[in-house]
Amino acid sequence: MSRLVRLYPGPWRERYEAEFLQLIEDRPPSPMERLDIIRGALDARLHPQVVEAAPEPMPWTHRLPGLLSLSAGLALCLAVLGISFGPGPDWGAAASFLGIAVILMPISLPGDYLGSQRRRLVLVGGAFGGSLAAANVLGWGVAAQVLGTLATLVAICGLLATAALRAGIAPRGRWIAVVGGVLLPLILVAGITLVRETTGVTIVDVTASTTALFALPYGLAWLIVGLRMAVRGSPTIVDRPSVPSAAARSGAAEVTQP
Amino acid sequence: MNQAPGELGRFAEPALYILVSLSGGAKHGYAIMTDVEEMSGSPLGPGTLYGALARLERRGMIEALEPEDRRRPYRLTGLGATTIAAQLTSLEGFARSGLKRLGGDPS
Repeated sequence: MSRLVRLYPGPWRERYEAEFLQLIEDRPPSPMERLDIIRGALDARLHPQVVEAAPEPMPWTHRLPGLLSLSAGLALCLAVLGISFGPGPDWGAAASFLGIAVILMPISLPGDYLGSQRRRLVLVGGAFGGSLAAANVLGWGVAAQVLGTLATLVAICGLLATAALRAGIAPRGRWIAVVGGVLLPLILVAGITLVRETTGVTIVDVTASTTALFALPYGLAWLIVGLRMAVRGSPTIVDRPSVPSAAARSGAAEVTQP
Repeated sequence: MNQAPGELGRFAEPALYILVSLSGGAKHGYAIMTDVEEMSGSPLGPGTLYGALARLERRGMIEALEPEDRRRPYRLTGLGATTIAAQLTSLEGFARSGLKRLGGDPS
């Protein structure tokens, strides 16, 4: 019987569905009354009796973390393309974009989840800083390169995973983004470097400027996450809608003029 | 389509029955349906009932009360009471006039 009720428009169902279902449970409709329900649904669609109240506009501050993340992703993509295909060794504008991306990435996410994810932020930041320090101390030897790559990988994967989590992306999509967009390219770079250093065989010249293209999926992933957060608002700031109670549902629906 | 307050608009007959039914006190959907069936002698379909309820609520002639379980009672508002009184008075005049023309007792 609930199939017939599904013929009614959404706002009408939000307001009347519970009591309507109770009515047809109290008094199961005859075939003619079923036709009456269908006619009523058609009428409700042609002459809307109830419409949802317009949602309140979202303050721009709710979109700020997303806009910053989006800008960071865009800057990183431009930097990667500039480094890969621009004139070297001085990359000019590409280097500026890289600097902007590096600054925006840490700024955008802490602004979003600093309050609720302080511990995770400290761990990721510590891993990132530690990897840089280790690489400097060890003079970029083989161990430093591997360690630095792995630590950086952990750091940026952690940031991206957290950003995806904050953006409300479903678990499956989140892991596809992290593994496909970040993990695989970086593992590939680390593997190629390791093979070259240990066996002397050069599969791909990782020192070539085009190697920077490995970071492109990461920039795109960051851009997509930022876009989603900019459109939907920061999940940390904007309260997630919970399952509304019957009273709340009736309050959310507003009766309007035909 | 905006209508002047006091007019019942589309599907005026079911709305009239519902207002008369609620004149006797607050009722939920099933009670209104049963009451209307007793008054009119013909059943009021669930689709027609809730279409009319939604319109009457929209026009401020009835108001929903707190639900009891899943049953939500409705009661007449001041506007609804005025409207039904005016409608019944008009119908009374119409009935008198008709009976008079038929040569019946117009009293």
